[in-house]
Amino acid sequence: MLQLRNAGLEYGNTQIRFPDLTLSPGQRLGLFGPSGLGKSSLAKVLAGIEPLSQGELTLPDFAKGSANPVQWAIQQSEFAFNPRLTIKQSLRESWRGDGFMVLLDLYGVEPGWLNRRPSQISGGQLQRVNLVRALIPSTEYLICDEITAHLDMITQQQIWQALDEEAYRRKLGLLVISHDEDLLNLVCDDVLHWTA
Amino acid sequence: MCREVSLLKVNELSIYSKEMNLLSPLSFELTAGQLTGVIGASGSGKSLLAQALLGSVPRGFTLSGEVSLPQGQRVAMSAQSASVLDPLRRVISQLMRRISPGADNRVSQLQTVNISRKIAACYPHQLSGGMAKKALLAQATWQQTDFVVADEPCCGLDTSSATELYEYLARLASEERRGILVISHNLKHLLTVADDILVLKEGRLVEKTTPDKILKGLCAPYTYALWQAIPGNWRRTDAAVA
Repeated sequence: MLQLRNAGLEYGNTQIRFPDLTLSPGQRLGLFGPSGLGKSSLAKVLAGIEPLSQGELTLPDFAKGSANPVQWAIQQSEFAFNPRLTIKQSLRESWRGDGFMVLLDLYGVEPGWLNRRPSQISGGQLQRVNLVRALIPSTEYLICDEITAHLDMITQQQIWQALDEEAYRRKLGLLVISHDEDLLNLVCDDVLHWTA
Repeated sequence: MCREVSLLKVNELSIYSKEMNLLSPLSFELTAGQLTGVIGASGSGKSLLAQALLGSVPRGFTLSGEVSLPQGQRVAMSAQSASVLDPLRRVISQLMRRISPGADNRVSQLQTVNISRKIAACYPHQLSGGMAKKALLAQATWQQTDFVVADEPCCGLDTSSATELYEYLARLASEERRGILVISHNLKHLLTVADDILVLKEGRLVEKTTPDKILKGLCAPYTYALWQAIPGNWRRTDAAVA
């Protein structure tokens, strides 16, 4: 279970107070709130990248050296890739092999992109690659931070249909961060409205 | 009768690499005082089109055709990625370099895109995705060019902030008579502000249409499919996709 209680973060003079939340296996929780409130900072905390300044965070255990069961599909995917590596090299680093190949078609990743570098594919294409990278077999919770924000509406719908089936099959807990309330209402069990 | 002056002409513009054709020859005109949207699937060539309008394409790609502007007129671009911001300079410092002589003071300029002084004092890595988008848009629009190309200017912004920025862009077109080209995958927003919409698919122009025609269903099947895939319309789409 992922749980956040009375938690907050401080960046210099900026203080962020997070809402309490609990995410169970198989649950889809939406997070809706205005820009700049700290939604991506919350994602960083849950993914274990940013330590809390205050409060409690409960995360699933995992062995040292193994992949974090909480994966964060980052909003600005252009910052998530080593620009010197090809897409295939980046995917192999996370997957430790070519197991990702079975997901390519489902998430609209074309084999032709694999030998390109991040700068040679579009923002929307990189976003799909980033999602495939986060769906490694050990993932139990996935933080979907605006994962379809750079995608056209038709592709967005296809991605969510694929992720819906995958999450159901693997009992993945999903935290879906989006500014599209219609989307959250369609893909989530509950939606948390975070206000300043 | 008032006739709108053509501002930017694109004639048989195409982009290709050794392996493939990324943008098939396309021609269109953009006029002063209008907001034109460009919509299409990711990878359909929208951002390449934007780069081509500024006369540059990534290394390894070749551009042919013609983009012509009346003499002395300029184009500014708001990039899709915040990685174009200088990581070593505060946002305010980067924006002030773009202010034209004679423009309003810096505070009122910041208000145009709703950036607070506190945010302006941050470095790019301290900005949220949405705030970075506002900074990118300010950097492009403050240059007072005749033409602004905005590549996904509101992606990552909440609905009210996105609406504010789209309305700001529409005002630049209607009040300052600037030509605005907005590239977006968000048809829902474009329908509310665009005068015309160019629809791209796999590097070719499907059609140039208007929001009114799309809402009435008087558009190409691909354009209509994009409209149907807006989350608020999903229930109707599910049957079509199946």
